[in-house]
Amino acid sequence: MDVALASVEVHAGGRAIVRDVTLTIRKGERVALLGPSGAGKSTCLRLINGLVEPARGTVRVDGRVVDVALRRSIGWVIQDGALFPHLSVADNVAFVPHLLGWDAARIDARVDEVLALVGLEAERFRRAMPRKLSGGERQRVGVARALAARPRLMLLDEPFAALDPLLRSELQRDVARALGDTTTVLVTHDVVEALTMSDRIVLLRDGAVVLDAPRDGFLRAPAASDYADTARRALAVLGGAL
Amino acid sequence: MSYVGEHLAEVLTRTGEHLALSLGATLGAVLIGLPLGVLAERRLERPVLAVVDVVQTIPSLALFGLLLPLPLIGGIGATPAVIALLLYALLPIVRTTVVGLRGIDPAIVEAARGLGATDRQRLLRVELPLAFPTIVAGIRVAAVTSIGTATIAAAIGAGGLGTFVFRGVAVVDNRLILLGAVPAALLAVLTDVVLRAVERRLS
Repeated sequence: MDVALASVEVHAGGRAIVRDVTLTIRKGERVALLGPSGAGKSTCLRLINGLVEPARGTVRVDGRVVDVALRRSIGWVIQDGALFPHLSVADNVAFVPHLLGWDAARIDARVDEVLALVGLEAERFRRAMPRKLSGGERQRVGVARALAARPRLMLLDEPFAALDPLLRSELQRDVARALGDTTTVLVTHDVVEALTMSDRIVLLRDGAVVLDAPRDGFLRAPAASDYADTARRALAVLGGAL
Repeated sequence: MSYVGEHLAEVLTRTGEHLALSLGATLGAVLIGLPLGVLAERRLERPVLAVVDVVQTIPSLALFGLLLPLPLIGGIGATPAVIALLLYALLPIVRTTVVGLRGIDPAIVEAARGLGATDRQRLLRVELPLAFPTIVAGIRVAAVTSIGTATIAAAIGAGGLGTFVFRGVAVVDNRLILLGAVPAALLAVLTDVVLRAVERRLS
């Protein structure tokens, strides 16, 4: 799916939280929206699936304004998974296929398939309730739920932020594999995550795009110098420790 | 004991009437209160809660009396009694529906929206199931209150266990009063225990 934000503004609490954002994402691209807290990253993501309405400008996905029907072909993953606590893992994963009216056999097969894709054994996890899962498992189910109806666009909002570092890198790898060549927009405040999971990085500060660069050139751009400094310091420490 | 034995048949009949009055009212209150609660939570909180609040402040004997002259729903007998009890039972159900819906983690509601659920699907598949344990607490309060208040319904000829109580008061016979009051209290306690168990299972 193509995504196009044109001169978009969003206001909240009397001030602009997204300012004149223009952004085009082409089919198959893996884009990270990077920036500090409050930079407007999550709001941009919510603009794309229509959960936030722009005060100015236009948002189009495949040339259309996003409505309820189109949202079903957009996968959506948020921090902690936000699983439905009253539904089993299988019913969580089957949520969108149910909305789309798939038949039971097709849903069953797809649930098993997509659980395997995110590294969860179907027999063990199908009937489990979300409260019995670990943080990493919950997030895997969250990704499986988003992937179940074969979305053509995946939106991920800080999906790994709540996980410990070892688990995070394991999950980043597994999720990247599960996503395959689906068009992806990932919101993160972690530059390493942005570099690992995407081909193109859009840097936001105070609601505006300050840099839009391919992964390889990103850290060399002047606008990303603070991220480059942090990365260098981390490397120096790691180099010494290793 | 022999006194109870003599009246056993009538006690059973009156208990049946009493249950029919209070459970009928509770059921009706659920059918009306649940949608009202959803409406209140979505947009009309003040007017809806104001109306059900005001109903609650009318003394029950007065409400039974006020219904007497009304056409269709009024008069004497079981119909106006069920309607009055239903009006009382609305408040706890409407309130707990609002509280239950408000208590859901906003991230869960947004997840449902973000995945493409319509308002109706979100309500039926996510919000109401999650609010249900709270709503059951409201149903319990409504049922127990109805069983208590239904005793007064005998004043407008609705039958039920209140019949013994009013008769006992009229002829100054404590045995008659207790013949109505004790089963009514037992019914209330039993209903409370059963619905509490349901609540625990759900949460």
